[in-house]
Amino acid sequence: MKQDYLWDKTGNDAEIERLEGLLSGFRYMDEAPNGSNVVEFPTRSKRSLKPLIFSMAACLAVGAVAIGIWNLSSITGEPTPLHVVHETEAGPKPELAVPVTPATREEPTLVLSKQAPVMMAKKNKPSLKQKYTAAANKGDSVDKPRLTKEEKYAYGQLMLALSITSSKWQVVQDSINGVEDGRTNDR
Amino acid sequence: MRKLINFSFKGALIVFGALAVVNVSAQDARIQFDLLKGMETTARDVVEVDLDGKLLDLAKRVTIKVKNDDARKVGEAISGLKGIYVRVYRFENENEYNMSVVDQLRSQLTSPGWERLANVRSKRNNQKVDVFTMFTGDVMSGVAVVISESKSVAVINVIGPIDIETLVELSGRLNIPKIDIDIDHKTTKKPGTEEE
Repeated sequence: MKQDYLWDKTGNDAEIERLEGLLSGFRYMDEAPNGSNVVEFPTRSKRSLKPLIFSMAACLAVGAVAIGIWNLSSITGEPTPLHVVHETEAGPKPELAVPVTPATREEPTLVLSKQAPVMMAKKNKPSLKQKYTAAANKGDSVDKPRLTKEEKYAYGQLMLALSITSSKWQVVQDSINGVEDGRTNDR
Repeated sequence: MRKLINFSFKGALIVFGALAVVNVSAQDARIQFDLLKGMETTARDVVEVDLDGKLLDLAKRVTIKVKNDDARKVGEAISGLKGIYVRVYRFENENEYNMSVVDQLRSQLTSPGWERLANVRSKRNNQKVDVFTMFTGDVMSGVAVVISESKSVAVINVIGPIDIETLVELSGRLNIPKIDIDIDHKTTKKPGTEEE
């Protein structure tokens, strides 16, 4: 342990003592500050968990709604607005084989621009009611297959021919029955 | 060797003959509508349908594609159908067409193979109804219906077996409404001229 004057004022050191004497005139002379002037910062109280819980609940709600909409889209087969955007950019719209219903006419594909596709898609996002209506309309057209123009023409011609055939066959039967009954055919 | 050649030749002749008979039978059920040419210009309402070959196959495929009980029954009723040809002409005034033309068409159906199934004559509207059938063996290979009245002519030619009773039962329940050409005056148009 050091035993010099500078360390614990033991012993003698003339040079240090002389310097102390010279500097003593600059010693701080005021009283020590009392405790009332001391500004105490408020101690940090126990943090509330409410905002955290609210934010977590909001995140969960948003996530649940997003998953619900995604599931609804996958069940009904109706493309989500985002999918529609990609389909629109990917290539030309396929030929419509089924009659265009008002529900399909409201598809956002017609108004989407390439500049801000996602924003536009979100803007045109249909409500759940619209989605259910569209799903119901789709249910009506489940049995309607996608037919080409040629298929539709051929089927129409066949049905026309068969309708006339059955109608005329009925005329034949009525005529025969009319003759058998001994009365003229009123048809 | 000569016997073998002779036998082969006779065999080939028999096979060729049989094929020719089948082919002729299939073709004989087709009525020539050329006689009716010109009627479409004077008639008020015209329906002309010629459905056979690939177009008929396409239509048959649609009856399977359409998931509908009635369409399925129609598909079954026409499964053996090889062709269907329809001509319906309705005129504005009575006796506006040449009745002898229709009689000539009827005479086609007196050729061998055809059998008259029904023959009805009525003075009311000068109605003449004829039904002819053609059989190849036990299988019906053709049906012809000729109905002429004072203001209309209808000729229907069906090639191949068809279950008409089922079609009559289904009429009005098909995908297109029941057509009674005597009430509704429908006309057909080719795909190119159709209004989309």
